[in-house]
Amino acid sequence: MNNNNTIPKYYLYPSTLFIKKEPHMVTTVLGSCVAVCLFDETLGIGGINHYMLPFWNGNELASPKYGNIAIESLVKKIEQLGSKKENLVAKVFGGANQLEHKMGVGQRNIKVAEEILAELNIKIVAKSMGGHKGRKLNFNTATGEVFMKYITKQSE
Amino acid sequence: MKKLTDQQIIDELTKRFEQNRIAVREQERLMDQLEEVNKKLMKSESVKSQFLSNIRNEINNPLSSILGLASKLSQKPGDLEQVMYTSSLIHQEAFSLDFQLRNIFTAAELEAGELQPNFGTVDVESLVRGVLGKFEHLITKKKLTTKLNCKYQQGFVTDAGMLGSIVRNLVSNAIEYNKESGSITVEISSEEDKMLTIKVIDTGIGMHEKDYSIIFDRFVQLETGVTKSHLGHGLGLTVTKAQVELLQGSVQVECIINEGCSMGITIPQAEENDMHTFSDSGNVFFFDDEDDTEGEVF
Repeated sequence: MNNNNTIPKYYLYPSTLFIKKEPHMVTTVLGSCVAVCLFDETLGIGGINHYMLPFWNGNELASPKYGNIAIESLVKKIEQLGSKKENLVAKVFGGANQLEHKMGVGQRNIKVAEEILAELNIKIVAKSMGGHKGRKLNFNTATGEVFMKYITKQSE
Repeated sequence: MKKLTDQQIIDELTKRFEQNRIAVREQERLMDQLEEVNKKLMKSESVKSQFLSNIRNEINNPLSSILGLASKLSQKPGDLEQVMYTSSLIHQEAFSLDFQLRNIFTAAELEAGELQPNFGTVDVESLVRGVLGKFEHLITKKKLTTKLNCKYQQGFVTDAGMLGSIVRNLVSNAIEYNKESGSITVEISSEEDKMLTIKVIDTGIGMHEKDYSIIFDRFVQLETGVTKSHLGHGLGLTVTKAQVELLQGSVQVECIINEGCSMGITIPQAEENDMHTFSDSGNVFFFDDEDDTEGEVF
């Protein structure tokens, strides 16, 4: 993990995505949100999104706040950097439910990631989803490694 | 061949009818879903064409005016007073163009997921004053009076660019939808230095409660079509809300028909250089558990 201290850090906010050719250590904090980390093993480049809701409602801006848009535009952007879809693998995190909902936002966020990635033929090689705890991720875009810690809520 | 009893035949027929009914119901349900999707597609198509026709009025027309006025200025400038008048017209047109283009670019950045907050200490009062100053010509034109009621004098850590864009849009709406000789009051307050609230209150046409939520939808203006009396693309409040959400805040609307609107935003104070306490959604704050263990590696 020594080389991780030398690469630039980037904090990823909800509803945004990050993809650059240069290596970065991207940090993000997830509750019911989901982050999909895409990594191209041959080119050694990666990108990540952080979406809050599963599907775009057609009313607000068509932004990566929504899973279906966030995943598709992340794939499109990594392809623009020269990646081929068959070289991509995904790691998916988040989707915790604060409440005891069977089909809460967290669950639906997870489902949309699984469905869209399956449709695009992108394999999920690692995941940590669901449960009741928030997660903090550090994603190394050059190696595809993800360091994850569970976090506790401040209030309550 | 085996003979069936009457009862068996009836049972079999009932079963098949039932299956048939289920299949028909399923088809009906699918048809409803298709119709729903089709409606959304049609709406999205009409939103697109409305936006395109709007562009002609609201981007091309100011640009033509600027070209015409500037060429007049360079050929027959007239006396000083005329020059001043012409250049103030150019400024007005360019100002409106700049305002609209900024919103369009912000919307594009938001849709690309490329707009990232950049935190620093902001002098909120002077930011609001600056915005009011920039809209001076429109305020004067409509004979509006403005009042700034600031109950928070310290610096507030947030994204200055986004807050500026938010306030510009709120003020612009308060002018656009105000009545002649009305007033605009901007209230700045804070709760224990943690939350900042900015309210822009106008004395305009107001609106019905049922419209509160749709005004934040993209490309929505309550009055549409060729006869619409208000400028804009219906993007202002959409980008406002999206930016407020990026700052983990919320928007509040309270209106009374024919008396006016109060549009407020509340955002939490961010921590400079320490963005890691920022939450994922719904203003629930998480904190790092402070231990230096690596956690799990995936």
